[in-house]
Amino acid sequence: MIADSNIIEALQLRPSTGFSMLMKRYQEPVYWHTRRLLVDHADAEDATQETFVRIYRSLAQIAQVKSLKAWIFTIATREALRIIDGRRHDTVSLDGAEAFKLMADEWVDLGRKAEVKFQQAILSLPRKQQLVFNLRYYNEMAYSEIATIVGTTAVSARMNYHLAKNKIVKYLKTND
Amino acid sequence: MENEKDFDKVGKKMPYTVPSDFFDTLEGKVRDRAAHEAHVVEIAPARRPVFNLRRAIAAAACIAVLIAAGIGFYQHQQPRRAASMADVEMAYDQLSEQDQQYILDLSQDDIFINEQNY
Repeated sequence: MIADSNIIEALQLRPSTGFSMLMKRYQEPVYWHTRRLLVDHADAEDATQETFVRIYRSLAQIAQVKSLKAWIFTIATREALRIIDGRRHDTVSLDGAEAFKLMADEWVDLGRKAEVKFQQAILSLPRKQQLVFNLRYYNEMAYSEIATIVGTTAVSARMNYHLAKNKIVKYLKTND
Repeated sequence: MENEKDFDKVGKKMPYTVPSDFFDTLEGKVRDRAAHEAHVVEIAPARRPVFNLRRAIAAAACIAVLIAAGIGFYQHQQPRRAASMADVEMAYDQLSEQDQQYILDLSQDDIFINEQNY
């Protein structure tokens, strides 16, 4: 795996090559992060593309970035939330299953029932808990990094993760 | 643990799929989009910022006072934060779900503990 320090060095010396390295390293994690929040493939593609366009336009500031991963995921999270906030359907007021049905498109395999239900359980969580859970469970990020991305403290991120896990287990049991 | 069994059933698998060449073509699409958006931005006229010296000095003074107050408070809090995280977690796990949520809700708006580190 390409190290972030190598990417930053390349971005400063050979920006175009460095950007290719950055995309190779982060395009899939960013896409799947936005996909988990948005469900719809086209929306996730839009959020992912816009994330990397913003990064491309901000390459001059790369030397000031403390954590490349946290910076990239912060931008990606904002782009996903921008799309969620702009949706016609108010999925916030729906439960996880209803929200999932509204957002699912041809690129969702509804036959994988256990996996569908797990995503529905995550989508039933409050927004901040969804973010914290996904970043910890799928991306295995440290709580300090999650705190930076979500805009909270490491302590709060840790508490949110444990609360989210308990709620997911409860959802899976009560929606059998 | 009961919780872990539920998570082990699914692991990190998701019911989502993507078109077969999606990631192969993504970088090209991003570069095209960046070039197109740069062209659109060039057409918009740039605004000249107006600099107000008096306001800038007042703002800097306010920020200096806030930082000094924050540093003083943080240093006062530091010895308490050194207490064991494991103890805090154990105590938190004993609370009901409602009490856990209540504590979370309180901490969201706490201006002293909500710091951002970019």
